[in-house]
Amino acid sequence: MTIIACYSSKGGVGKTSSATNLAFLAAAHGSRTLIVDLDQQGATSFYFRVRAPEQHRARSLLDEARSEAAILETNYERLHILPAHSSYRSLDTLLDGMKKSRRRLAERLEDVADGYDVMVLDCPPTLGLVAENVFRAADVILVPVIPTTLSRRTVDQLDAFFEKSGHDRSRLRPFFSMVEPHKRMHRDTMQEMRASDPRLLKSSIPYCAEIEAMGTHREPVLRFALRSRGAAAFLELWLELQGEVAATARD
Amino acid sequence: MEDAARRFRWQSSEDDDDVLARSLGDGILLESGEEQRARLELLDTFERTLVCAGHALVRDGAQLLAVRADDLRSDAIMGVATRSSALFWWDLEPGPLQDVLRRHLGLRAVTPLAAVELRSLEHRVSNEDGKIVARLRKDSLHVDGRKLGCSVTLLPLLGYEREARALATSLSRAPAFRPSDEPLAWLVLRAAGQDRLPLPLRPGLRLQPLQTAQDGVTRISHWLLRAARQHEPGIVADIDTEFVHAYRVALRQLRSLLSLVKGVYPEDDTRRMRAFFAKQARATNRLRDLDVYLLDEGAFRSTLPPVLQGGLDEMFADLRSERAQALRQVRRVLRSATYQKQMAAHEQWLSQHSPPTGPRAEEPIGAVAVAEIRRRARKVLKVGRAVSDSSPAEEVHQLRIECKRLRYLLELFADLFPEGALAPVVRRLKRLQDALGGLNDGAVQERFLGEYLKTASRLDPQTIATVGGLIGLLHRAQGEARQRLRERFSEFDSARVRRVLARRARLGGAA
Repeated sequence: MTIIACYSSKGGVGKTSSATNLAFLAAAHGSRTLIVDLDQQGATSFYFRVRAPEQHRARSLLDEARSEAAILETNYERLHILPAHSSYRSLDTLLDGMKKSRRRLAERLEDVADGYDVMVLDCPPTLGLVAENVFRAADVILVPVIPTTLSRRTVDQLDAFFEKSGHDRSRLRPFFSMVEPHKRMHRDTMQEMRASDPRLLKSSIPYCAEIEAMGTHREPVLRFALRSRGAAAFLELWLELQGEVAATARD
Repeated sequence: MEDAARRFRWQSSEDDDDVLARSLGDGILLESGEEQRARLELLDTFERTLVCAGHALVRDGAQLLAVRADDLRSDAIMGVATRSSALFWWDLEPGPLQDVLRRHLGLRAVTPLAAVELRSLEHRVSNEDGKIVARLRKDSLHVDGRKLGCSVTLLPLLGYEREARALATSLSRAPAFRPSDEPLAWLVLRAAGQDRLPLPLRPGLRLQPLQTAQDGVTRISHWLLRAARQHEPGIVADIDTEFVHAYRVALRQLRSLLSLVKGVYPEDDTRRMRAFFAKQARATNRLRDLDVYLLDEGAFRSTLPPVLQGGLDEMFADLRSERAQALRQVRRVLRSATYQKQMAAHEQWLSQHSPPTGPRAEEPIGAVAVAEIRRRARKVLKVGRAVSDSSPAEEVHQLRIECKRLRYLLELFADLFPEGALAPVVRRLKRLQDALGGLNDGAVQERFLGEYLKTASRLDPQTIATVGGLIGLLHRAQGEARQRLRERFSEFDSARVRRVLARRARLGGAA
């Protein structure tokens, strides 16, 4: 059972579209998959056309039975979703008032993950207790990065946070997202970052109109635009990730 | 992720999707996938073993697969068969399908029982967000273009149980749909007129202690005769060896009953029936013996080193041609007008409301059962005590016969005693019979091989050596078997057994 987190401290970098399409690919390749939408904006839930069940709140995430009761089957085989709720915006505060605040959510997520082969966590763009718990639970933390100068700083900040908190930095796997190869800044940044950071995944996701159109179609891009460059890129990313996960499991 | 508890199923005579949409109520949006069609042949044994176990063996063109009897599609296990007619588990190539069949079939063969065209269509029910909240699968069965039945299954989605229940309620209320748990495989069998299960050999009647002896015996006899006869078509078609076996077992039980519980009919009638059924059973003796040898071929061969295997080839080839001849003879008998007429007459005699009575006819069957069991048990002890290590085979054989008689009575009349009352006796009797059986099998094999050596038309030195070697092995095993027999008999000849028979074999005042 593998837990994959999609995290970025910035919004609008392709975090949700990545989580959605990777979860879809995991399920399509035969794994029983659960995608957990932890972002109070609920973009993932929107893509999957689901709403949180009546009783579901932020507090439910801290109780195994209540979390499980909120899980819904998506329109796609083997893919389930634990939808977000607007009350998730107070999740950091909620955790802060509890003992073991840095672990509590992680443990509940691990409990829920038990019935699945893969769990994908779509994280909110904040660096608080929710993020801490996610970093603790995840086997791999994917970090989508738009290849600009500012993005380098974001990765550095994340590294620093990891060091300070004692998390294993090698679990961070940045990858380039929304890449526009005709832009010189993108090309240069990618070259520089690859030279200094071996954790970067080789695959990258291009800026792609079809990926942008996910909000209109409300489906993974691999469903409505299988032949697009975006779809092909996600597939490549997934295959590379599978190889990495297998290698880590062996070590 | 589908499990049976979460399925809802209805049957309908309406194939029309409009009817389905209307039955679901207003505001429900149905979207359909593509209709899938498959020509399926359903195979199973005489006893419908697979479907009763929840599996369905189907042939879809050249593909052979086991699926769930429920929906004829889930949990598909594929395999390859080396034959296309009656299939035994060993006719499949090793693999998961062979494993499934080996677990369930035993010595039975499966034959094609029904051929249908299965048309399946999946509908999706979505909410206003475009989220699928339930799936409805419609399966319809067609033969020669004619629709035979239609089944609608509701497949809920996790988290949308409320929506599923609402849909289920609508369908259950709709006049065109009838809730039904029936697996699709049974629908197919019913459409082909193949859904009747055979009569079990153990009569499904409960005897009452105060029933008259004649009433009890007549009912059971009639059942056993019908149970025997239902195997005749299978014997004639030579589907598998179990048909002859079951036919003989039923007739044997019938004859045992008539001989062990005498006096319920006039002596002449009892004698007439016993003679007739004995004759019919004898007609199948040779065929059954040969079947048993041929079934044992693998075991026989594995006891011999490779160098002697060649010698067995000829022997088994001879056995096979003899078996073909024996089958021809049995077929002639079963198909003859005489046999059919006589059997029908006996069936009719046993279904009379008041058959002619004998001296014990009116006695309560409870009392009769106790008396006979005690009598037979005393006989077993008497005969068994006289058997020594040097006793000839006939004496041991006699003991075996007496044990069978007692055993049969205990099983036949089990209903009349409190649960577990006679268990100590039955347990020890079974163990004694096991020991006798082992001894007997060895002796029969030895004798058979000896005869074969004497009467076979062509014998080469290799065959003689092989058969001689086998006889030697069997002879040595006999010594061990005798020892075991002694031990088991003394377990039976014990104070415990005597006590149970004296006291427990009692039926609330009927003893």
